[in-house]
Amino acid sequence: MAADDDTQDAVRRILNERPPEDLPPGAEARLRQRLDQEPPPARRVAAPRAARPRKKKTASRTKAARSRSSRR
Amino acid sequence: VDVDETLAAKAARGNREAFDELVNRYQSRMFQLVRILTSGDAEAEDLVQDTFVRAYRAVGQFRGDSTFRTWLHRIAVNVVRSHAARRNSRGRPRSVEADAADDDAAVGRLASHEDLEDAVVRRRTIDQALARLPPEMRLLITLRDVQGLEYREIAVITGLPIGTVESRIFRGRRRLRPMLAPLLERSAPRREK
Repeated sequence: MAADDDTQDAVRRILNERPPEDLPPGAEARLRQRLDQEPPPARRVAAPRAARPRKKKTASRTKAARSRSSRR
Repeated sequence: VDVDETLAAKAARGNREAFDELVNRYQSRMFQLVRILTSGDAEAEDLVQDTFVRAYRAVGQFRGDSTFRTWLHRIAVNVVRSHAARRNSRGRPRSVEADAADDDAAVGRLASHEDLEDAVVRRRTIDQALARLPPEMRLLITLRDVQGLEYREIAVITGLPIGTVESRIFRGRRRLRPMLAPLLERSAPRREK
C-alpha cells in the first residue's frame, strides 16, 4: 500500500510540474480577431410563464365541519 | 463572489472586455489541455479558438450551476472530442508525439538554453507517456494532475460517477509510473553517502 501511495504522489507531482508551453506567437491577437467577428452573446431569455389556472373558490369549512374532522 | 463568475456575468450582458479578461486567464491553460488531449496536434490553436468562440456564443446562457472553469473545460473537451471524431471519420492518423518542430521553436523563446532544453525534454517525456494512455484515462489524469481540477468537477465535465473518476485516475497513475521513470529518478531526493 505504501508503494502504491508513493507511486500516486510521485506521478501526480511530475504531472503537476509539467513545464507549460508558450502560446504560439500572435495567438491572442488571432483569437481576438475571431471574437470580433462574432455578434454579442445572446442573453438567456426566461421562458414565458404559463398562466396559472385560477383556484376555484371553495366555501370555507364551517366551524362544525372542522370540529367533526378533528374528532376523527 | 468568484472573479470568473463576475466576469462571466458581465460578458453575458455584452461586456466584451470582461470576456477578454476571461480569455487572458484561461487561454494558456486551454492550450496545454488541448495539446495534451490531441497528442500535440498542430491544430491545437484552432481548437482553443473554437473553444472560446463557443464559450462566447453561449456565455449568455451560463447559469452558474458549475464554476466557470468547469464549464469552459467541458466546452474544450467537447471541441476536442468532435475534432477527434472528424479525424477518425476521415481516416487520418492521429499524431502520437508532440510536434518536434514546435518544441524546437519553443527552445528559441526560452530564457536560459539549459533550462529550456530541460523543460522541453521533461514536457516531451510527460506528453509521450500521457499519449500512450487510452484517451479517456488520459483525459481524466490531465484534468486532475495537470489542470488541477477537483474530482467533482471532472465528474461534471465527463458525466462519470465520481468513484469511477477516482479509480481510473488511480489506475492511470500506476500505468504512467514506469513511463515516467527517467523523470522520477532525476527528481527523487538524493541520499547522502
